Amino acid sequence: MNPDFPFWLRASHLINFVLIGMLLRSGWEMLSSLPRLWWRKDCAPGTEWLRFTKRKLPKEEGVYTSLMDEKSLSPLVALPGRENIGLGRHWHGFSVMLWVLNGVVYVTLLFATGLWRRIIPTSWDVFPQAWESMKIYAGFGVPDISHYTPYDPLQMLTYTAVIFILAPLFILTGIAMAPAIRSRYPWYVKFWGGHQGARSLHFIFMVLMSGFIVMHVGLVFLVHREHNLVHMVFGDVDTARYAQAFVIIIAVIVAVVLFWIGLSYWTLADRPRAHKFLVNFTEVGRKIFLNWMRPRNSRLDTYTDDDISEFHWTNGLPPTDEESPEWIAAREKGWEGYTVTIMDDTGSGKEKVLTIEDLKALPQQSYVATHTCMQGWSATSRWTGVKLTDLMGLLGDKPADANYVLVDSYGLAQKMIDDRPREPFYAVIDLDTFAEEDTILAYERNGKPIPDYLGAPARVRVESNHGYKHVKWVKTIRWIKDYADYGDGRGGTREDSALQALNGRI
Amino acid sequence: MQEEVPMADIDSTRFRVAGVRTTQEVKTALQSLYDVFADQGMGQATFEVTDGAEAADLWVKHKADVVPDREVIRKALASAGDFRLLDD
Repeated sequence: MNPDFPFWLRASHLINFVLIGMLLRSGWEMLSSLPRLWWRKDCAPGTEWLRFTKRKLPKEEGVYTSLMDEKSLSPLVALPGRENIGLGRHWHGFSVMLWVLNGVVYVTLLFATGLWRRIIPTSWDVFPQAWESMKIYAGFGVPDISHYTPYDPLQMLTYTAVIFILAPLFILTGIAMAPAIRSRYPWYVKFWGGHQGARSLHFIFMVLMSGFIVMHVGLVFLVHREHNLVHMVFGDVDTARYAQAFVIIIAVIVAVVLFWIGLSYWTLADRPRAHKFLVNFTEVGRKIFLNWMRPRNSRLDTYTDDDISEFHWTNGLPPTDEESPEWIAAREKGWEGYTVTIMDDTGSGKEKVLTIEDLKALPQQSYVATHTCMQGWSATSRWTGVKLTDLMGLLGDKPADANYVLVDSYGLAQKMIDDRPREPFYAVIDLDTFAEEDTILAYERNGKPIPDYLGAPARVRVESNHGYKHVKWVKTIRWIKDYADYGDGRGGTREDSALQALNGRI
Repeated sequence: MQEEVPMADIDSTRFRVAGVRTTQEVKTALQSLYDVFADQGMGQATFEVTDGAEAADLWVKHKADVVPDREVIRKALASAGDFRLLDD
């Protein structure tokens, strides 16, 4: 046993291998949901800098939906594959929590044991030495084993860059895509070029990491493998055990690949089961890191009217006659006759019916905010409306048994999980989110009435959460005891059908 | 009365499709439809599958001034699997 390759080092290396594969595969699932990348402050079709789809959707707003852009990946490639953006996001969250934990343990022990000295260069000489190694590799040669102590200068530079630059950049751009962070610290998201900048950079880092992995694994087998494999498996320097190490490494790689694919099929075999397991796990991270962040768009000027996007995607088109004749009738009359009903569904039976004019008579809240869909698109708008707390206050004090607020729509779900006939779209928000000052029922966008396709005449805005909580074409808002009593019991249409999390803060 | 915001009116049309029963069949059929929908002014599509029914309902939302082309839909479905557009 060589002290340079202790058990903790080899274990964290293997765990990293397993988790990075899960991260990449679940990331590809998410990318396939909207296989385009932008640098802009909107996501107009045709303005992307990179796309992985042949579909060309027109720029006309309100006719085509982002779900039309979703592509299906094989479970052999993605986690879980087959258009499961919700579960892909949960697997990404699950994997990243463990990956970061593994990374923290690794880095801590690296410094605690002094082993950092063989990875992090301490002399500028490393650059000319690395250049020499590079030239040898470029000529399809192999540096002599004496170059490796245990790593050569090129490895030192690469490992330092991957561990201390690339990995943190992954995390920093990843969290920049969380609505909870954007609505609390919008300057941070703007620093990365907005939501699309962070998303594009995250993609580029993924490409760099993938390239590193291919090169790293390739060189392990091509350059002094009799040393490398023994180091990794036994922590030894005795090359006599090379054959044994080779067999074990190949067996482990095969087992890990089968494990990755097995996770996909385990997930697809019972998607609600996977949702329950993953959301319960990842909710720990949301509670610790995100739930305390309260939006403050209305008090900040990081985003102004100059940041408003030209184009706004949508998910779900306006109600049609077979869905909601009353919504159609109100629209034909310029929203005369349109009503929002607020009610107590916890037992008292209290309710109040409000018109658009009633809503406008309440204190107004207005701010510029970026809307993000879990698929990846975003759009910045000025939203104006009434705080939900003021609105529900019209019923009096919160009922003692009320634990959530449920909002439902005149429109139907775009899809049910089992493709049964569609039911009204709804979303549930918890009391803390309900009380946030940027949780409103909006009736204006960019100083004008909300267009039909974005939720006319009134829609909910929950700025600390992704778009699937922002119910359009609002019909009722009610106090409820427990979301388990409604729909499929997961807290919203997109939670029920696309298996998103009730907590949409990331 | 609020100011009118000009935009395309959306209408919907129902079709009946045989052979689409499972979640995976729904996804396969929709992938094929979405490959051609934008060129036809057609947008969101939803399958509604009812246990024991002869066919699934396919609801297509489209611009109100567009008449969905049954032949386009038929071909797209047929190319994706054993999915048949039934007569009204």
